[in-house]
Amino acid sequence: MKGTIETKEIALSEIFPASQKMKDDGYRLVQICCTSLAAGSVEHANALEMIYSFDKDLDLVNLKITIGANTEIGSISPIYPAAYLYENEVHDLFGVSIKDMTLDFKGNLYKTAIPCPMNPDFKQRLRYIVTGFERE
Amino acid sequence: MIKQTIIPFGPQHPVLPEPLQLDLILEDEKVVQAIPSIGYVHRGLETLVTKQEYQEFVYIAERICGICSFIHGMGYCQAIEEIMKVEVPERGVFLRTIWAELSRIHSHLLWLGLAADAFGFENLFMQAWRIRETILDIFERTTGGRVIFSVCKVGGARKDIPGNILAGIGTTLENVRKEVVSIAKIFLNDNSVKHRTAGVGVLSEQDAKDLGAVGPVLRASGVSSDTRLRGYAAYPHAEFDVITHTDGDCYARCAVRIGEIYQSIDIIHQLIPKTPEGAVDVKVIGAPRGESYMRLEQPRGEVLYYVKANGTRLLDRFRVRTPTFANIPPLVQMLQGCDVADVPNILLTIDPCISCTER
Repeated sequence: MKGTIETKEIALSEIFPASQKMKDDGYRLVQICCTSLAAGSVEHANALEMIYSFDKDLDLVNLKITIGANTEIGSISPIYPAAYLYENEVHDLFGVSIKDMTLDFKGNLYKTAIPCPMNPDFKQRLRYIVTGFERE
Repeated sequence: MIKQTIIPFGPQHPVLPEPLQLDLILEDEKVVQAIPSIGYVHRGLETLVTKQEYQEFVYIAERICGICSFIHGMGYCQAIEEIMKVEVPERGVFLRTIWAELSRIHSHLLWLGLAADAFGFENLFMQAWRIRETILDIFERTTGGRVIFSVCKVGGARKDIPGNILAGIGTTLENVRKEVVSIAKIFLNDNSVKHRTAGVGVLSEQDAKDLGAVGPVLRASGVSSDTRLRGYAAYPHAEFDVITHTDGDCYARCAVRIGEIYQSIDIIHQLIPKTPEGAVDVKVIGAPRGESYMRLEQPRGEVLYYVKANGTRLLDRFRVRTPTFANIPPLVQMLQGCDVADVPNILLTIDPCISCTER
């Protein structure tokens, strides 16, 4: 098959400059995906893995960061305008706090029965259910 | 200063078969901004992967969407096969590709009908869907289903297509081509239709790239991009060019989809005589461990499947980035500056599939 797939693990602080570099190099944003690492090990019981995928001429580059369930991350929507949709999705399903999104749905992109249904931290999910503070 | 009015478009609207809402901010009758809102029927299918065994999950993957159901199953299977290094027999690969291209023809014909319905040409809508029935008949004859086929499995295909039926598909598709030519004349040349599509909902090449457009929406803006060129499945055995258009308007998106119907027929014609004899599947034992990023070209554009497996029969993660999800930011851009009467038309030209978006 044509096209390479490269996956790099980077630090949380590097995601913004790394995304800017991808943009400058002519890559387009393919997706942002969040995965709970809870099933992997007890050590990562509340950890989440964020994958930012970029494409250029069928070559796929994935940038991975690992964050805690309560970590706040910066939005890349100022660099890639379409990122707001993926970031709102990650916020609504996993409860990841993302600041400076160009369009913030404030927890209302998905009308799920319970907030953050895919967040691995049950206590946090319960807190969202009880307080409902994530939605305005 | 003109007073601004906010009109909620959807979630229930005659042009939308599924719920999607756009808050249209208007100045007089011009849209100055559109704010999308989805999530009315989010089903959480991705999480079911942690509750169903990986071989059974194919049935759920297929049910993400009723139009591109086969390709969802195929993409999931390919991702698992890549992790487990399963070699699918050549005949199984060819049959999968033929079904995938038939899905593209049926999806584009369905869209042509919906587009005709949106601009008020009911007879054209019925003609497009009448032709589409022929493709559904082929599906029924070869798989037993018309919407959900369940012929894709990890390791190949569940059913074989006998040689005489395979040859008959080629003949049937030539009749389909003639009928598509007759309706394509109206879509592409009729003045009343062009009046609703030409110059409407323009997406520039730069915007299409910047906003992450995929599929016919991207190609209609002049970007030559098609995931099939990666050479997955049996596509290396077929010669085809990427169909593009430069105008980036509703007319261009319509023209690209019509061109892709002919292209899919040509691809199937090339594949049928090359389809080798032999088995269509291999037995797969064990459980996957690892991760895979699988990209396919659905009728609506590039789809990405991310699968993460832990060595048990239940997967850690299944993620689908569907083409409609990627085409929502470009849609918002297209709507800026358009007449409010053109909103249904423009919205339909991204071929929105909310089932896919609300996986």
